[in-house]
Amino acid sequence: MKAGLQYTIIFTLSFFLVAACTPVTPSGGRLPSSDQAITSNSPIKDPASKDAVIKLLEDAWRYNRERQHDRSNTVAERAMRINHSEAEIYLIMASNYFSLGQFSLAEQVASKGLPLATDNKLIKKNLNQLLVLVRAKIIQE
Amino acid sequence: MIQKIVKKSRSKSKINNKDNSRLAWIWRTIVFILVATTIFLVIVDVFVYKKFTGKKWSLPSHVYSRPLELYQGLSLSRQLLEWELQELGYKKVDAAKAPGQFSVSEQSVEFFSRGFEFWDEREPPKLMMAIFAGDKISGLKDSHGRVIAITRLEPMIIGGIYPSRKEDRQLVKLDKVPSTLAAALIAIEDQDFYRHQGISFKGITRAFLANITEGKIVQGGSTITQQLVKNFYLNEKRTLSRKALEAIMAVLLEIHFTKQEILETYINEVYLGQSGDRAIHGFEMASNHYFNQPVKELQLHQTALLAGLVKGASFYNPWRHPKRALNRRNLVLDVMSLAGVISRVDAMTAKVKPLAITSPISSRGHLKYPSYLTLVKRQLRQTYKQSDLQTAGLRIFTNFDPQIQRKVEDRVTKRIEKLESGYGIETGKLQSASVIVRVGSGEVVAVAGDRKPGFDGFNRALDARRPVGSTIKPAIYLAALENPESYTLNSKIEDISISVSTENGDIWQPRNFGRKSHGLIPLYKGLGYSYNQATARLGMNVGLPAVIDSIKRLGYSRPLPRLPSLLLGSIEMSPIELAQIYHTIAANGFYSPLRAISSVFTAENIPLKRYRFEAEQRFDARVMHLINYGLQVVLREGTGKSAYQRLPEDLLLAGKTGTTNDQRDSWFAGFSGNYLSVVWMGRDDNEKTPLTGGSGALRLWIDIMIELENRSLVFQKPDGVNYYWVSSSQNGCHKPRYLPFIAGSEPDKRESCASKNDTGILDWFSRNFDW
Repeated sequence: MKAGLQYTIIFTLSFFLVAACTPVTPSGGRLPSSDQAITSNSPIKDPASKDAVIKLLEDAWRYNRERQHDRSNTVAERAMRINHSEAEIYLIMASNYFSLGQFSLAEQVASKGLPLATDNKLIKKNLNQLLVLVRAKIIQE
Repeated sequence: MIQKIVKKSRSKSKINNKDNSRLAWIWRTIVFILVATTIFLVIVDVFVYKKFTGKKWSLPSHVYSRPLELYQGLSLSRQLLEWELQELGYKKVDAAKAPGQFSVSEQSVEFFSRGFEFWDEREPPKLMMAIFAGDKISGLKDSHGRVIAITRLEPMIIGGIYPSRKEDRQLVKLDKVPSTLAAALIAIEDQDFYRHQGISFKGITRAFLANITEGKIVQGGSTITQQLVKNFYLNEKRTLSRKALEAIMAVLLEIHFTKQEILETYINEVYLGQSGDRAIHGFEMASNHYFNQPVKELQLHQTALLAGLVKGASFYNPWRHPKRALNRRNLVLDVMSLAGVISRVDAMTAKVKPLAITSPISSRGHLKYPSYLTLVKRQLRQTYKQSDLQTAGLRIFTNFDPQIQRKVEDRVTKRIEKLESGYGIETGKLQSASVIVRVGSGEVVAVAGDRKPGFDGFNRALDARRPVGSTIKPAIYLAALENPESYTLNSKIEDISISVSTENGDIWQPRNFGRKSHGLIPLYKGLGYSYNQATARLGMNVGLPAVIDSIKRLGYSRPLPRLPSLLLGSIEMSPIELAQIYHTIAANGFYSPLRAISSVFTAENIPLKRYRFEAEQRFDARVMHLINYGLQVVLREGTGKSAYQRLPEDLLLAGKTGTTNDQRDSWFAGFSGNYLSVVWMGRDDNEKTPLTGGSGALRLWIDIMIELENRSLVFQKPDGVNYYWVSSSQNGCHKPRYLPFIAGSEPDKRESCASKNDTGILDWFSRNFDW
């Protein structure tokens, strides 16, 4: 139980750190760099819906910090409807599932985000770190 | 003498005794009546009180569409936003000033949203402006000119799940009802409402005199309380005893409850119309039924019409008897004016207004989308009891997109008619079913279960289980490619005649569609060109258990027969089952259950259940990359290549055609980066058609995809996959092709055509990517 609490604290702190270190776009949101986007018509390249996704991701992170994990996931799903190839969505959702103790789901969702984060090292790193924590919890269980 | 006296006294005593016993009998009778009356009144009182304080009605559950999210960059024309607003019952005005109104200029739409309590947050009512550039929203601003990143409109009601009595109602609080409605009701139905104690002797006398004068019953003396008692507790019988009971209950009701409580219940109880077999009860539902607006937004002339309908919703039906309804409405306005609740000027102004009712078709919103509603009900039954769904007044929010549904239905109708006339198919015989899913989230956004829009019958999208033909082939190639040491996209396989002995001793000899064999071909070509002999051979090589396992992991849940014919799609599936399978492919090997419902709220708007996003990795990302390459070959050069005659070449799409024996079924399942569509065509009587997957279902699929806001599929090279130029023939580097290989399965460098890629013969794939 104590170990679980420790993990949660470490994990939450690491997220605050990540949130602070993530490159901030002029509008204040966080998006992976788009210069390495692969597909010819990639939504990441397309700035059309960027502001909407940034706003939703900001809200989702805020609810995550406020421990309103279900609400955070609902907002993340809204972002997913606009652009489901945004890796940060899966990072948020996986961290919410982790906090809710749904480790298998957290692992799956983080795994889904990982291939989408090839252009954003920070998100990729966070997803990998999260996966390590999640898998440790799954083994513990 | 003494004897005489004794006799007299005896007779007197006899009389006294007789009197006493009569008196006692009378007393006993009185006491009995009193006790019986008291018991009766107590019973009635308990009944009246209990029903009024308990759950008053069996409330139907209402099903809502998705909320329309609005943001800069959204592909949405001004006309479509207008359509959505009108479907939601927004009124077009010169300048939007109140919730539920909008105004339009050439480049923009200004609208005052109603606000809505969503699962994640409350969206308050606000005045906003959407600015358009072509068919896109180029900006979104609030009333102060500040930029809004994203906002959403409230979802629309698309249907309901009704109690067995088919009463439809939406509850409304008295303080949410326009004051003119309550005033109109009191003026026309019961002017002494605030003065009487349940029954009005003045009203009864007035009615009595009117009835005597006319010689028939022309007027009722019932108060609003009595009417409520009649509708809420009793039946329609017009007997004296029932009238007496009604009066008693009305008085009891008035003793226990306030006038406001009685009026609120009346406003929610009263019968106000009929829509098919659905009875419209209460003013909120009636307001939606007649005006497609919430009751709080109604104006005087509208509330007067509704109040007038109380007397006889059928007799004054504004669609069937507009003149009668107009006269009744104007009478209500006159009575209100005479009673002094509105001014004469207001009454005159309201009287010149038209009825302004919505069209009868749009008032039947619940009948518009039965195909999708069936799916919702089916998914709900996995969690909720039918009785709860019919009576608990649940608010069910779905992923249904009415704009996409409308487009799909329109395309289905047109394409079917075109195919029937083009191929000489007997008119009305060709059928179709389509399912549209949002890729990634697995949200089902539209379902068309019949060629006719809004058909409420056999839902082919969910229930027509037909052989899937070659659409099953990706599962076989997946099973093979999961063994990179044995199979790559460039592995050669023989497309020549094959015979397989089945368990029952039969010989299975599949043939290619064109009855032509193609010799030794690479795997990607077998999939892309849908060669049956090559695929059957591959399937038998990897083994039926591996193929079955692959189909199951893709998301098919029914038992599968271990038959070789399975390899060419003898297995029967419904379009939605096939959509589940293809969604796993579109989502790069992650299985997510297809979801029609997003969340469920109680009648009191308390969140009950959220149908969250789930994902489970069923296939390796590298293998999925290879299979998605193969499915792009289908559309670039294979059996689905006609797609790019009408769709933009830079849009990455993947999919697979399917045709069954004698062309009884025509399938196409394919996806872009954000939408997956599965289309089936065929005949209900299972007769032959002249259609293949490419000439039938694919055409409709293209029609549908043209209508959607598509993005290229996300086709990112995962770690552990490398691309190489390889020869498409066995000799040298003739027509080199750029193919993905899982690390460890790369072609021998001596066979690689890397140095030959300056020949100018670059395939479509390398033109699109720069790896």
